[in-house]
Amino acid sequence: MPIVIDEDFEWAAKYPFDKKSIQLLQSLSLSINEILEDKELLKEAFKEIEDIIKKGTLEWNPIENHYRKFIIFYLELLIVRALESSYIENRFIEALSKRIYKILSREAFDVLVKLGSNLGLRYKIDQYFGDTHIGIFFIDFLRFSRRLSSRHWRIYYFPIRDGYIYVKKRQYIRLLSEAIKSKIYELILSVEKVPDYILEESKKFYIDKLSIHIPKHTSNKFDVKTKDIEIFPPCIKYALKNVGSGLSHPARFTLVTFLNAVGYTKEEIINIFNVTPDFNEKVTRYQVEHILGIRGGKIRYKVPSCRKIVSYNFCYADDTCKRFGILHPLKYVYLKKRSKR
Amino acid sequence: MKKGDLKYLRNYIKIYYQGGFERIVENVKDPHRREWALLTYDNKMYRHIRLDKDNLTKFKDLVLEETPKGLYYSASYYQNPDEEMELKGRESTDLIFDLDADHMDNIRIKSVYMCVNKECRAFSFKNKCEKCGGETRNIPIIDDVTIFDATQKLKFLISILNTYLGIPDEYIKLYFSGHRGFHIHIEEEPYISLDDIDRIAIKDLLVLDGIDIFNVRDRNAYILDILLKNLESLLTIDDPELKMLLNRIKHILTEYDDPLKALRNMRVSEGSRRKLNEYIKKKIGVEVDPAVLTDLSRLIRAPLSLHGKTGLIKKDLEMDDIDNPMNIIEKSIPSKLMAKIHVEILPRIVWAGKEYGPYYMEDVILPEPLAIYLINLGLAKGIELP
Repeated sequence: MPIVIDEDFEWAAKYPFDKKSIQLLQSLSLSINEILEDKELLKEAFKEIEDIIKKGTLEWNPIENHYRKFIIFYLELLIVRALESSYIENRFIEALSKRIYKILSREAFDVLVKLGSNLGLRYKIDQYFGDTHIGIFFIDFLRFSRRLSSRHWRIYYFPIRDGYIYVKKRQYIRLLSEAIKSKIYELILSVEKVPDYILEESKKFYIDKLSIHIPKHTSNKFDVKTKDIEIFPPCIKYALKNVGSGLSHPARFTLVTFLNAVGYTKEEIINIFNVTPDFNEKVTRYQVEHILGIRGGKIRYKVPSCRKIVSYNFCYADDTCKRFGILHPLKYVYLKKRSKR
Repeated sequence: MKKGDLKYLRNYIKIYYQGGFERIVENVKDPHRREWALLTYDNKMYRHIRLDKDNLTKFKDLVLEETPKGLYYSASYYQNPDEEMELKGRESTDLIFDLDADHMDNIRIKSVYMCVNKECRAFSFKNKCEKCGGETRNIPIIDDVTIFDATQKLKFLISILNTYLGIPDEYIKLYFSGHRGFHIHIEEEPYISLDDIDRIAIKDLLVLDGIDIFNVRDRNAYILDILLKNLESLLTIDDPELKMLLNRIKHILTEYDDPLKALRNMRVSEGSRRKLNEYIKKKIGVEVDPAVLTDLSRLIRAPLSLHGKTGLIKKDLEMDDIDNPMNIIEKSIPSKLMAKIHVEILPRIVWAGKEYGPYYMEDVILPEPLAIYLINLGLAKGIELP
């Protein structure tokens, strides 16, 4: 066994997803059976996941045993993978990234940069604009800022020079948290097989402890099911109106995903396209089935966001879109439906 | 278009592709990984064509047979370029910017007008029909002057790609589109790996979609940087309210210690804010075609192919060429032949370095591609060799 100092374990407990921590885990050469000999480890992992699902947060206690904390993280990955629930996955990743965000806020500049670099954030330290700024390669910035919905994250609000986008420490930490989320997600997906014992225990754990805390998505909180064209957003009305005279590929794609999301059946959608003189049912059926994930790559595509529709050049935003700052066509339907109730 | 004109035009295209087809394919990066397509004059689209050694001749034969008005390839590289869209297996996509002169602000474009009244259809130089007083449709005519003006925006776009996004000159492949403007192709990693969301963000940066200059949080932000560099041209506006606001902003940005706070606290009505932001977007945004930039399944005109509307080549340009923009159309002419044609109407234009027009209902001898352009615009007919 290699010599490991506690400093390494402290790093691994704080940042178990990091390249250095993964190398440490590999160097320990522990088998799953060896880990499970300590029954408390798995118990603690289940307890933490239960807390995450209930509270949505995960506290960091710096005096806890770093080795245990580190190993527990990897057991949690196995459990989350075994549970196969996107809700649990998201809640786990969110809670973990929030905890890491707090830890990162107290870290020195060089630690942040090292961590970012290990996660693939290409950077440049610069005095360009007076103070020390971290420049992030613009492609990495785009990749990790895409889920930050505040308009202040729009690229033109940042200093940009030579392919790098300059951010302040606080903003860098925010981006780093996003990169960490991606990394944890990647680690969950990388689990090819969950050991049988953990799989069985996870199933029991789900039934006994978790199921009552998982929200049922069948509530009508975001009910957008409707066939009332009057409450469709203007872009969709435009697409419906112009089906006969030909639509661009993105407009057709948007229309199919939208109609499916509001409750149209596959046959109903195909029928809508049956207005052009050159209508070819076979081709239309093939394309619709692809978009609905029935054939091909079996990916069920989501309705594109307003931002995408703007770029597709068929956004005809009306007063409702502008007044409520609609960012997604289904949100429009939801609002209109709610106001009709 | 008259039958005889179409026959002439198709022959013109056939002659070009007989000698130039192979060069088009050789000029394309990884042609076998792309989807190829062509659009015929009766608007039939041949799509999902894969090019490899075995079918190159077959494809050339199809091109010569159909004499297409457009020859295209996909911006994307695919595993299976000949499959339906969803089965193609996209691997990466060229980053392509399409800049059209008629979408730009402050561009000189000559126009003629055609009456929309079906009974009349008269041409005139005024936007009210001189014959029946009816509404008219604008027919813009692109000439050397238009292209000259458009290169100013093109230079601005290239400077953004170089200076801000750090894309080196050697990655930037520049083309005159053969019609209204320019295409920039970037075919190198890491840019070709950008997905559509990344490309939308780049589009926002160029077009300045959604900007609010009163809400900037970094005094070195890109938007303030380009605003300061372009303030003098922005200040040429006639609107007194916007002019006053811009002068105030200039003062704040150049004199204040904390300009961001001062900008946030400026007392400006919601309407004026919106108007000013829109004006800035229009003046210093770069009006790239958002669909070409962000749609990963886009087909793009093949470089060195003919533009069916103008008879001109989609021509590759050197950076030096955009310093001599009056030569761009001339460089894109595939044939030096002249043609006789009956022109219904044409204002004075400068085309390939020479002046033509004004013409009104007369037979003239013009360079072949100009004659073809006028036929396609509906401004001329009866093309024949002189």
